[in-house]
Amino acid sequence: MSAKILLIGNNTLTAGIAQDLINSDIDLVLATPVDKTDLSPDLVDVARKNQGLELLTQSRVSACRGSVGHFTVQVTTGQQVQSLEISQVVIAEDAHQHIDYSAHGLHPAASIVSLDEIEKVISTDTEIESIDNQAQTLVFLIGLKRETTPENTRRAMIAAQNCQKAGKRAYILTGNLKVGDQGLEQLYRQARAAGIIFIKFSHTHPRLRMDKQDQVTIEFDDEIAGRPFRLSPDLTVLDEMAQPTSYLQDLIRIFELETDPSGFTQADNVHRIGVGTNRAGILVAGPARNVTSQREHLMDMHIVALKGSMPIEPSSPESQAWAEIDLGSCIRCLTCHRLCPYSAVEVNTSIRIQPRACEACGLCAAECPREAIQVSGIEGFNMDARMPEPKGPNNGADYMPTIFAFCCSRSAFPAGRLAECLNPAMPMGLKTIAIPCAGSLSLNHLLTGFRSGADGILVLTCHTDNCHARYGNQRACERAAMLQDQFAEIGFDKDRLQVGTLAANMGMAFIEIVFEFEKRLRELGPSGLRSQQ
Amino acid sequence: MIDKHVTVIGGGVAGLSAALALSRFDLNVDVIESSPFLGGHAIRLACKATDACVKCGACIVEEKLLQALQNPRIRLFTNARIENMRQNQGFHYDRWQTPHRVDPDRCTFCGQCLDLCPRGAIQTGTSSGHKPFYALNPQLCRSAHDEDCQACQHGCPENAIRLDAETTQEACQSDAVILATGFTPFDPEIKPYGYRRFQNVITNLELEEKLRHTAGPLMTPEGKVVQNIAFIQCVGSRDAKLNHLWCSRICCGSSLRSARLIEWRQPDIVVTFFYIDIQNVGKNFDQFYSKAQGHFNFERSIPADIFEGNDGRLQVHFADSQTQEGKEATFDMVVLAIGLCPPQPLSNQKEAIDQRTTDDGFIQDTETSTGIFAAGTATGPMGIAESVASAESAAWSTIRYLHRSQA
Repeated sequence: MSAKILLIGNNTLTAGIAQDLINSDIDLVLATPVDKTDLSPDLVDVARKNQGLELLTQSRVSACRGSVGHFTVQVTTGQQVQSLEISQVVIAEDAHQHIDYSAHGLHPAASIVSLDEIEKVISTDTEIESIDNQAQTLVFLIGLKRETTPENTRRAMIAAQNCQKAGKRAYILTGNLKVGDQGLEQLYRQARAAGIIFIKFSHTHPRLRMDKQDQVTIEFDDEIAGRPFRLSPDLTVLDEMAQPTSYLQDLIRIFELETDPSGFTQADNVHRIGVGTNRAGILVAGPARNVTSQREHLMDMHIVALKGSMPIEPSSPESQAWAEIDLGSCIRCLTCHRLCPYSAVEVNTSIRIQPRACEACGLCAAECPREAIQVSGIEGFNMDARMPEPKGPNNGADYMPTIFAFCCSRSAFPAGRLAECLNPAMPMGLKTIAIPCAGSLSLNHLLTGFRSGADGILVLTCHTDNCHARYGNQRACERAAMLQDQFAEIGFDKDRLQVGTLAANMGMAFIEIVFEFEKRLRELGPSGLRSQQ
Repeated sequence: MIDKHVTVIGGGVAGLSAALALSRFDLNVDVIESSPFLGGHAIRLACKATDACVKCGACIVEEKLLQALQNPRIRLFTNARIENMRQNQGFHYDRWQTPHRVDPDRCTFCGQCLDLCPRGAIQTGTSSGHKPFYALNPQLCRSAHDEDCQACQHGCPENAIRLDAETTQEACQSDAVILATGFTPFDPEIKPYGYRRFQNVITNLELEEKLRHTAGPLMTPEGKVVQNIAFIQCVGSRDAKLNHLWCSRICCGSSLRSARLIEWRQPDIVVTFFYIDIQNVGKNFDQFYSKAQGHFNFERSIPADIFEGNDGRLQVHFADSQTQEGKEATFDMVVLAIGLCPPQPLSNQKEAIDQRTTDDGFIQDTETSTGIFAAGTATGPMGIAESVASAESAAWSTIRYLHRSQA
């Protein structure tokens, strides 16, 4: 197994990560599409300090096979293609900064600059003079048409202060001033004390115009004074919005990553916090996952180094579970390969589930048409063997419905444990069965449940968008709905099968669901299947 | 890195996350938590999912606690404190632990002690990872103050309560320390909003506890369904008079997500936000916010004061953000989104623990060569996801420090 890490990016964060990994004696290869002359100065510095660093410029990742511990990554440099044996991948690629002129009714012109451009001319005190000396009034438009970020707010406030220091007049026009990061409220107070005028809009909008000479005019009714105002800035500074670059989109496709609503490399799922993705061994940092502040970048740098130097094997291998395919029964339909949210099913000449990439969710096992997949390491995953014995009278006045509650081990199962603490008198007939993910329940499991004596079955899973296995909860809901339809056809009451969503801390909701279900089952009476055994 | 030992002070989400990260490097970790329950403030928060997860992260705290409980390298001490810490080739300190007066193996959560205690000193946990689930608050317990009250011990049908259990002290040492002492919630009593005088003025933390306690509509203590609710943001944050020159960062998220959950449960409720600037919540804030704007009233104004009418409803006085004129509105319930303030300084070890603070009074989380690191809200206001990240970042700094000191 190679212990090499592939680092993709060309910025200060990439340089920081590289140095941190080198300091931890980790073998590293760095690849970036840019030319040597366009390397970030910080990266040049790292390369100079560490002569042995393998640095591939003008190099794009073009394909990837394998999984954590043994990725084979294809890197294309010009006409040349090479394969690298890689243990983990870190993506720290920059985002594209988009400037939306048309949202403000403006078009590109010399009188309009971006936050980035204004920063470049005023980044040092000596250069302040190089701002167009004609420009006396500057207006920053921050978070007006779209909500902005605290980082852009910080940048605007610093740039405005520097302009003010150079004897210019700076205005910041904004909707919600984003001070939600460390030090920003203080910076805001400082900026106001320095004479920068902040104008906030909540129920009105400024009206922007550009004449033939590209002169921008801004008219608005001040919401506090209630009076109309007009500004004719010499320079208008526009906010930027981060978007994934086309290379980042390529990387997302090549590495089979889930994305967030803006198309960045990390799904909007609480189970992917930090630098994690849906794939073991592929980490994303900074701009690649659309976090922007220096503080967050520093944290990302540390966490990448932490995860990069963490042993890939868990410290107690016996505790690890994974799915295995019985190749004798497998018909190579590739259902598992297409379904796996973690891309853990490798297809070569043979088909195999990689234990280190597998999260043992069991989605593949439930969906496999040949039932050729078993999840090993989870005691008694074979559901038939786990069905509890029904208890309590089967009918009559004391009828106590037998309820099997299949609970996702991440959410509903701890909720059920909490319910027991909150209300020790849970229904006597309730049997709670932990499963790795509700998506691991096959139709067969559910039918076996009824055959084994359940008067009703609850499938308790995570909320939509909260499933660690991406769509395991959705699969469970679909499967239950399908079975309910079939029940309706054969005259078996579909209320006997119910799906609920819970979080791990929802003990009270667990209690409500269970008691409500028991009440309904009492109305329905015994299922009749148990006595036929 | 065998045979190295790290002490984490604070068993909230940051402390637990730091311990879990360190354990992956085969380090032994002691987590010292002063309260009877692990998980900090965050473990009391509600899941605010409506028809889908809203990414508040409350469930992550639960997950971290359950993982830490199962981890053989992590020892968790609740009701514990450290004293007399000194640094001399590592850290040396005394660990004091007040025993849980409730035996977790015997307690069946029947709840009789809750009714028996004349002081309301028995607290209940909020997580399946809380063992014992019932605990005694020594500040309130009469027996802990040498008074002859043994009502709970006598009344417990399981003989699970032992009031005479002794506090223990043990000399300990470790190679590094992580301060994850969390935040102090701002006490809004000094603000003119009648907190503790009007029972329908509550904090957002109290609202979260209410929300997780029932799945039904929000009720006032008099048993009336709340039909009109207001959220006042920035109570104790962004406040120059208090010299609190920081945004607490989590309150906009807590209030907006709570409001959406309440509205989902009772669609006809009227929600009003009093705010300065709405801060970003989650990854897809534009969409989240425009939805909220369509459903709730947003008043860009911080109310001057609140009075209680004869009917128990609350009259809120504020400057109308459109006309700038004084206005009055009436609500069934007012939620104060209270700020996150710096943690209480650790007592009795000032000399050894160099707790450098920021201008705001939070602990500085810069790299140290002293072997003391900081994580989570002790270093400044942040949400659950960022606390986890901050803790993992601190864990990495700790590991590097231990490597260097080994070399």
